[in-house]
Amino acid sequence: MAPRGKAQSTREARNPLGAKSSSRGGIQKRRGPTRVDTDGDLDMDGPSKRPNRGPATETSGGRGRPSGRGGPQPSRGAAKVAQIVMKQLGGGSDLASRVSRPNRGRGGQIEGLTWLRVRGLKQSKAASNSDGGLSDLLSFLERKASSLGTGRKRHITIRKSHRAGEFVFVGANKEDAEELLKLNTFTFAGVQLEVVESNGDFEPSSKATESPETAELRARLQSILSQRYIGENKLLKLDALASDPELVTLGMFENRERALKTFKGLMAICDGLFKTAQEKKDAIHSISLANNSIDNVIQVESVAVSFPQLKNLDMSGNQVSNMDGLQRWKGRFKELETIYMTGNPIEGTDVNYKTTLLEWFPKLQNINGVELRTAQQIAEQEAARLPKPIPQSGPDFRDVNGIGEQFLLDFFTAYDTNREGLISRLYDAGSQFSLAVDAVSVRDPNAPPPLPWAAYIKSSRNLMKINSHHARSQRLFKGQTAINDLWKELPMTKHPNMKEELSKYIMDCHPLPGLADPTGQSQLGVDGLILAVHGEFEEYDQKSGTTGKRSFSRTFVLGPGLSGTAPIRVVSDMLSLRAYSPLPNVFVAPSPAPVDAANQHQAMIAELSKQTGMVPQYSEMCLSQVEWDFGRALVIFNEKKAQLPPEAFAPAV
Amino acid sequence: MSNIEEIAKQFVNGFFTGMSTNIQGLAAVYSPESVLTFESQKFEGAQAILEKLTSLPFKMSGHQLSTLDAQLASGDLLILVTGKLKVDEDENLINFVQNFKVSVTQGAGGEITGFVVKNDIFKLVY
Repeated sequence: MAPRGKAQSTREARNPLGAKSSSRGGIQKRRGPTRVDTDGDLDMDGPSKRPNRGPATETSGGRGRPSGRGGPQPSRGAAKVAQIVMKQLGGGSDLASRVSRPNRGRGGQIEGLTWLRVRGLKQSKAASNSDGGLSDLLSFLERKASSLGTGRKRHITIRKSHRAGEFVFVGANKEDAEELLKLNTFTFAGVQLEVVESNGDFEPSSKATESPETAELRARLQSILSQRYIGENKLLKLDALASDPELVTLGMFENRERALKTFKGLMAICDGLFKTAQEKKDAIHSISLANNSIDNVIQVESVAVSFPQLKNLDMSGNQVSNMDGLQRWKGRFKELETIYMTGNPIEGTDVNYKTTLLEWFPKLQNINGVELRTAQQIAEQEAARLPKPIPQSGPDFRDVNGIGEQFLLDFFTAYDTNREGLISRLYDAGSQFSLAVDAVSVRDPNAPPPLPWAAYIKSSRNLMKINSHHARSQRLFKGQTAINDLWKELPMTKHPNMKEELSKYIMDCHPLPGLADPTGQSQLGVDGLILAVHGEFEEYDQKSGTTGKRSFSRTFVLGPGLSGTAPIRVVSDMLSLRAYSPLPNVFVAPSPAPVDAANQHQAMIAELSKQTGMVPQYSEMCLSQVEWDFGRALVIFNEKKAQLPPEAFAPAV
Repeated sequence: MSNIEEIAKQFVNGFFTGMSTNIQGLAAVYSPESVLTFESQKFEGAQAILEKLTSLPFKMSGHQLSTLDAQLASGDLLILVTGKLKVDEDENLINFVQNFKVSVTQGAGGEITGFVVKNDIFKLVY
């Protein structure tokens, strides 16, 4: 499908005559004249003196041509529509989304842009301006951000921007982006803006705004896809796409980046055809990408995104010549069992490529039709990799008057069903809440991939990563209003019922002396509790519609409430989130530690004294006679009660 | 106390460096009133705590910290740390979560002169 050009990594070195001006709609250049590289990206490192070239030349020299194309040349009109469609289908934001993932170690460095997501333009007064207020918003952001810095003023520049639904995405270099982030909650044209880091998951465009041309092209692509789906084999045949006469007519494989977008568009349509991931997984087990002149899977990377649970993949007859060409799929396709690589140059250039493939794809059994390991061998290898369990002790729950227990039973139900009510009951002006996302925790490799962190990451207060004082204080939520505003935005949750599914929690509870007295009466302070809870919850993200499980740890400091309010209040509430991984069930773990036995004896003595009125020494004597069988101790007590001396009983108060 | 976040970071860095290089050195941050809950077993006082930490049935071979968050609660630092623990020579790391309630001692000029851990709750959550 792709022209037999050079790999992505060397594209900067290509003949600059191939450069086109970026007519990539959706992303607007703001500061011209600027140089663009051969893929139409802004070249941030290049000198900016170079004038813009004229209108885009579709047939540029110096570029590879798609191999095997046979059909007629597409009309400019068709190509234009195609381009618009690809944008509508989510393909247009491809590069933007790649560069907006600075931490994923690819792409981000080259393009050098950090992307932020701004919300509020649509609701603002500026929305009625000619361009929907976009230029006003952008100059507002630049102006405000430039005036923020203390000391030396620096001009903040937005390099790229585009709208998607109610959001505006702006790209700037890392330094400027940090300044722009500080504009979160600033008021623009009567509306409070939300400025957050974009995680690259662009909101899908709405089908409602689709033009008739777009809808028609979507339908044609959909029909091409359905012709290429072989239901009985659950196989999607995406082989030799560039010689598909219909796709060629549409101009979908004009050049490398068009091909890239076409492919993303096809994947987006695939995604749209299925209501759930499970439905998609059940319908398509195998995909053929054979004979597409693929030299680097960057060109078809989205297959891994759309079909993470694919079982069989045919890559035969392509141009992959080394493992670099497959690098983008490393760590993807966790369920892949079979791959065909025959007819690729790599067969002759890398004698170890099969070994590497087995390392990269954990479930891979069969390469080029030869079984190299069995499912059982894979299971054994995985078992050897799991951590050795360390015996765990049960919870250390030293409550005071059942306050901690009552709090926990109440808290998670209320957090799931009525956060606002919970806040009004148990939080006050001094209560603090913060959360931190642990995105790198150890998890079960066989568990479904972790849910995206988008809903939390903008408020994550991981002090290892968040270094600016401003961001730190912004992510510490103090008082009922601030906490409520945040909780309203966080995804909906459902925690397991603590009474019915206690084993899904581990909690420790300790008395905490010396908390500051809210009434100011006690100089020594008052008693509180520290509670550490670990567990899981189901999540429903109302914005993205995703559901799934997460694991969490949450620490509370509770103090006595002010008079006239609830008996307790939350002083501190710290939430830590990580990928779902079930807790060890500490409630069934055998823990007959001597410490526990001693505690148990003490508890029995106390209980017997309470029930009989005996002093502890006599209770202990009685219990030790019957080998600590509480029932028998009671029986013996009742038999011999009359014979006991008066000192056996505690004096009546 | 200004910039409690940096102070928390300073404490945490020092604490985990101590854990990996010189556990006995941590005696300085525990007081007779300190309470350690290690995997839900309770140890009170610096001596009992140090005895526990130096006689674990496994060796903590390294802590990789993933997140750190801190709040000021009634004048003390409340710290929540998550990360991965290497146990013995096992290459498979285990998630852990650790809570601290730390009081910060300051000199006359407001400079930090030391830390005292009041509560330390350690839990493996693999």
